[in-house]
Amino acid sequence: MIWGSAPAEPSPSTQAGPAKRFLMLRVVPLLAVSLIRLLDFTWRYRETDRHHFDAARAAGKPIVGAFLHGRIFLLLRFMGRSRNGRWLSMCSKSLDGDAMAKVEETFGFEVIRGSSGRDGLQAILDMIRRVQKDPELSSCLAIDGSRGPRGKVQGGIISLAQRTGGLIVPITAAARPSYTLRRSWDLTLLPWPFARVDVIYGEPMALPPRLKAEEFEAWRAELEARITALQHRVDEISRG
Amino acid sequence: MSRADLLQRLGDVIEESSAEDVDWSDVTEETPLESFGFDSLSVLDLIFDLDQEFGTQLAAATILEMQTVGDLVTCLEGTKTA
Repeated sequence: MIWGSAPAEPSPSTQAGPAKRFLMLRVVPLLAVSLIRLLDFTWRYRETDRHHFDAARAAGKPIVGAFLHGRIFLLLRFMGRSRNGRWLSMCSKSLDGDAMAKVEETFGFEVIRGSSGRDGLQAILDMIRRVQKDPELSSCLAIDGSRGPRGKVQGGIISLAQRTGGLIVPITAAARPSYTLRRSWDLTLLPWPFARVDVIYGEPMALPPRLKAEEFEAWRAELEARITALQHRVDEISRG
Repeated sequence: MSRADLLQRLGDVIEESSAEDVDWSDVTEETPLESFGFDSLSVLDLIFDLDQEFGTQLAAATILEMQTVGDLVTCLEGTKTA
């Protein structure tokens, strides 16, 4: 049931104390941006099936990038480069989301806030309306975010693609050598300095503007299968 | 546009965007919106169909706080006369 559900709670970012807010809004983004810039300078990127991304851009439709939450760290700086176009993304309204939004904005992403419940619905709504006004703006979502389960595609990206008329392009990455944060729900992957970062693109997916519930689920499952297969493939490429 | 006209046009929109088969002839202003079987994603269809049909830009929370069809008609009435 969606009607009568509880209104969104106040954002944790407005409830945190001043010291924690200062840390998350000023210190953490600055450190994260500096670290990513420094690491990115040493990383060697290698792309596989880039033609899928280029073909989607050439089709003249909005691109909807489908990322996995645990690989965002590898893709953030790379996809934010001007040759990949302008991007719109979503960050949660949590304190972590505040820091992440600052980092993404520094790397050229436009950010809309929200993640689940009413906030998430409104954020998807805002993203769709924003892309409808500016179809050259690509949008992207961590499709298993904001809190998993890992690899499980949430429905928001399907709605985003349907309503913007956009093409979903699954994009993911692997790196070697790298370190996996085993205690994180998304198994965040952090490449070491001088790592090779492999970025892989999946075939674009065009969705009909209207879907019945079972068709919606079929597309969601199809995207999940494709990005899972893509992740396995890039992991193999990375291992050589 | 009269309230009855708005109600009829709203019927066309809800029949199109609802996940369930809706017989609008049974619907009154007191009918709860939740009876149409919208979930968090199909409600997006409703919002965009309302955008298209009535030129609105409703927030998700605005829709979700409404209880009945009559509440939605009142909202649309306000939008059209604003």
